[in-house]
Amino acid sequence: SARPLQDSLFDAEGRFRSDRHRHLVVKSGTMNFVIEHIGKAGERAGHLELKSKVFPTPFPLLRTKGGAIPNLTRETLEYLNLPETALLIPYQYHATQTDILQQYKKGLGNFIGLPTSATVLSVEDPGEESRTGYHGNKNISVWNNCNREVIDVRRFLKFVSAAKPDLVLALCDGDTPPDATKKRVNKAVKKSLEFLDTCLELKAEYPRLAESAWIGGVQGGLDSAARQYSATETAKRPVQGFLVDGFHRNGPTTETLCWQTIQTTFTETTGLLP
Amino acid sequence: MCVGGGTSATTALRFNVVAKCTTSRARVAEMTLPHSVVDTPVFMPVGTQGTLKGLIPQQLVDLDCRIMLSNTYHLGNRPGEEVLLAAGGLHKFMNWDRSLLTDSGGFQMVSLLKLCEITEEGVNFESPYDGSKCMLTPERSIEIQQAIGADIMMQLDDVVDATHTDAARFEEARHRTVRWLDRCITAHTRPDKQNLFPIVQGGLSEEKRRDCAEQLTKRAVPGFAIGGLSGGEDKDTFCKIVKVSAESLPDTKPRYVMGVGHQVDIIVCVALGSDMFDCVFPTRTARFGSALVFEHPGDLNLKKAKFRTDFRPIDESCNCSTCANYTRAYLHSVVTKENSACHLVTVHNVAHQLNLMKRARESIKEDRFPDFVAEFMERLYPDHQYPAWAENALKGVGINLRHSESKAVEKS
Repeated sequence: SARPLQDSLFDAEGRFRSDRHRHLVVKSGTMNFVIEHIGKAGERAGHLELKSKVFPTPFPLLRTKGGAIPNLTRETLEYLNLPETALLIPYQYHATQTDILQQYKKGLGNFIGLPTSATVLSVEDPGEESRTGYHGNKNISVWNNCNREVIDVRRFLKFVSAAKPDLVLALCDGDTPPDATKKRVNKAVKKSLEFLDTCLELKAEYPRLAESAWIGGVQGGLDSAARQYSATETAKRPVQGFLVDGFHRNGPTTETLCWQTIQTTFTETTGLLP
Repeated sequence: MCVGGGTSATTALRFNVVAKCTTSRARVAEMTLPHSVVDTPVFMPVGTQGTLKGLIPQQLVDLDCRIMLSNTYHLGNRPGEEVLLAAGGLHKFMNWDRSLLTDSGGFQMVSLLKLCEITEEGVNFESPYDGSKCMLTPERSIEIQQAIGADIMMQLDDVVDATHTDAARFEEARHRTVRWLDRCITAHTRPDKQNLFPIVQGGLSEEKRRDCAEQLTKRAVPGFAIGGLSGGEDKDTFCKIVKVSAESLPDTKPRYVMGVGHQVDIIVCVALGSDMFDCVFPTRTARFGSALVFEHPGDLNLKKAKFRTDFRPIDESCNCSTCANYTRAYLHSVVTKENSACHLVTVHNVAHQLNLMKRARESIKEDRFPDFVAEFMERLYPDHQYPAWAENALKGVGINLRHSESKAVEKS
């Protein structure tokens, strides 16, 4: 079994527990986050508490595909005796499973055979190149085994309600490859904010979503102005964290992503986030 | 149940019959091999290239698999004899410390290679890599199998497809098989560490089979295999030949029916007096998304849409890790798409086969094997349309599948 994590960040009275100096504490009931060290360049180390598990940050998520960690099963995963980490579940592979999960009633974590793991739902799979294009004003397209699924906020929320992940990356439009037009970049920014607002507004209709934490996607490609707008606006929304999105289209080619190309825009963006 | 091995200096196999069915010819035994104790009747999953595809040895240990099979032809090519010798044998190479059985390599050659010619000296073939002329002799087969180091090795036999029409070929084959056995025995330098099994041949002739068995029995060998079957011959003949071959072999040594793996076939052969089985079917069909079950029709094709919202495990009575943690619905969603699905269904199918054998053994020990067989068949054929060959073969050893029917009729 996985190595045990340390105890909760907060005691029974809700007071923050660490004896180390704390820089920032986010306490939202579903997800708690504390930054304990900040380095010279702004790098930070701390802890994230999700589903009563405490993860040291920064930490990597364990990516799944169709709910399976590639080439592993629950049994062989246990043999690895890894320190526990949270699962990344890309929605694109599960977009047609809403009705299944509604009947199943026990949530996506249970369905994939890993009921005790903390789950993070993303829209796209960072491990596979996402197809560009095929978007509408009020929707995006995701791909599952060559099948295209058109996703709007309502469809997305129905799924999230049935899946009950611990942390949700709100539906957003991050389709801004390096050669994207200004129009596309602005569209991505606008749609992502609209999606986020609609998600936050409509999620009140889904009581099962009360316990999930939400993360908003910051867009803008390599356009400074667009990034500024997206970051400051997203930061005004009641989200528990941010996805710094739109710098690549996922997949193996991200290995060749050149830091110098995105450095300025990236640091501008993170600088505008709380 | 002690799993560790341990044999005397002169023999690498002890076969201790602990129970006999008082109706049929089924029996339970403890077979002690150098690496583990194996309860028979036993099903040996096939790990062709030194691994059960998609599983690690630890998973087989967790399923309490005591013995598995690997193929000399494949291992001889890759990684090859030198590497295996340097590694200290296949057990060390694949990190499996329980028992192994290897075949001679002959069957694969005949079935996989286009140009393959059998002479008295050995099997002439063209190397699949560089087309050079190679020869697999009985001596060479033993040499490679010794490098592999399996607990049980098979003789190189002159195997002829059972549907072959030339009677003279069968005649030649069974005599040559005996001559090749003697060559294998001579070439075998480690009888204290590895067992060498001869293979009864003789095609579909009862007389030839009896004679061949008689010849092999004269040699000092620790066990026997019945080969040259499960190649497309009709089932009635298959059963007849298994029965005759088994009857002609001594009771005190294990009888291994090669290539038998479907549930019904196994149970019938157990009733006829067989102790060991191997087949790629359970593991291969798993990779195609088919899970084995005891209910009619005997397997679930998890690709089918009807499993989309079926939230039961493959088999509620199965305690494998797949059935403990996954639903049919989840497996349906990933089968043929993710490798993990192959691994999950493979684990279950191996568990299923091992469970089947365990239940059979328990019923023999409690002397209720005929009832077990009747229940087993009824679950697979609830309409009682039993395959005639199975019903007849079982009847021939005193097991009447309709017994409970007549009981029910009496009661009403």
